[in-house]
Amino acid sequence: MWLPLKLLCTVSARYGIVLANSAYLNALSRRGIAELSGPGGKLGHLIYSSTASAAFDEHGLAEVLEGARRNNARNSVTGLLLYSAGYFFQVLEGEPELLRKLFEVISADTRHCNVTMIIQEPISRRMFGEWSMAYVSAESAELAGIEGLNTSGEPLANLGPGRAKKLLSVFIEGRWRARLIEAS
Amino acid sequence: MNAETSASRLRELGKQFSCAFQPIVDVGAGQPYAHEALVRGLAAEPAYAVIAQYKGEAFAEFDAACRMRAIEIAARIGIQTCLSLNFLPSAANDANAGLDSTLAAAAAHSFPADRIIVEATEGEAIADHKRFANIVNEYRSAGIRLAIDDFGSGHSGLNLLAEFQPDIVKLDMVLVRNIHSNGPRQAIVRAISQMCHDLGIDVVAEGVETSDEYNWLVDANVTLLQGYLLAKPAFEAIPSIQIDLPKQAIATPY
Repeated sequence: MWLPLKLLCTVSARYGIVLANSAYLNALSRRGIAELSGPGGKLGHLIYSSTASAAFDEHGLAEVLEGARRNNARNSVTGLLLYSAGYFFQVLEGEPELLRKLFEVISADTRHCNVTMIIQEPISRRMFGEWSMAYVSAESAELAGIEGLNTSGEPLANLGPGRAKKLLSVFIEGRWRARLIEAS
Repeated sequence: MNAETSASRLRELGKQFSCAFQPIVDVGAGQPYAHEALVRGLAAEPAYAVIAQYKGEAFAEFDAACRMRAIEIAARIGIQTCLSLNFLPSAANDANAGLDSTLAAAAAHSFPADRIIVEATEGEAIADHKRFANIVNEYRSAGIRLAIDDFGSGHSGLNLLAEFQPDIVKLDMVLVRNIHSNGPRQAIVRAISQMCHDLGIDVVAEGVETSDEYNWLVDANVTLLQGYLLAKPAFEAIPSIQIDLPKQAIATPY
């Protein structure tokens, strides 16, 4: 059965998720699937943002993330998830048709809303090739790659220039966040 | 015509002209971002004199031969930046042939495909949206980046961005001319710049000729600049950048 990529949610953290040790979670996600692409060798990325609509507890989060990563690794999907102050930003890399289907599933997930597809296009190589789903907090993203600093061992340490990095940096500046209607 | 014959024909054709290079300068980083290849005659005759010789069917081959020739010369003179090449997809019946030969030339001269940018005009991109997107996306998979040239020149470039997001847009020179004193142009360039920033698209201003234009653009965070103020095209050579980049005038990026 296809398990949708689960989204992590929390309401408390100002900078990313405080629930789980992201270094530990990221260690789980290194799968050595660096340059794999899907059938036919086509490779693309899909980048979207959304607004969290539910919270997860510590346990749920770790389980969900690990499960999602297992599925991603099986499907040669790599990428990055960033959470900042109630908003998600996610880069998915893999076979384009597979990403389209995955995005349909993700869009239907009720734990987030305002799902906004920013870009879907072909790429020549993966930016997050080692990560079945790297998690970074806005804070660590700000410190790594974006300001030109390197945090070795972190998913952003060797992030090459390109659209994913630019959009990530734009998100950290505060763009692509819907003005959320407070649900009544 | 098979690929081999076609490639050798294009190589022969390429021997009839040459090219000059003009830098696109990243004034924020204080270094060239790319060099655009501009066609010239063998004795550095201007582009129009060369282009006028190729019409109709012959123009498609000329277009492809220009890119091959530019790659060959760029590799020879040791261009280390990206190389920006013009691309006229509508010229060819089989537009793929045009970029296949470009990729083949890059491989033959050990010029990395991910340092190649192809520039197509806004009009070209819009004329046949779907065809254009299909062709270009094929080559983006190989690492080639796409620039839309003459952006904002009167076609519906904004519609284009809704369908298809290039890597770079090059502002139409008309927008750049005297921008420091022209309100409507300023408003348009600010809007394009913000929109491109949000989509991860680099904005290049070409035809920058005066320090007033330069200063206005840098203040508006348009920091990829091309034009006589920075460097004139140099025939089969890498021109040096002519002005001291006034770094203190550069605003912090967004």
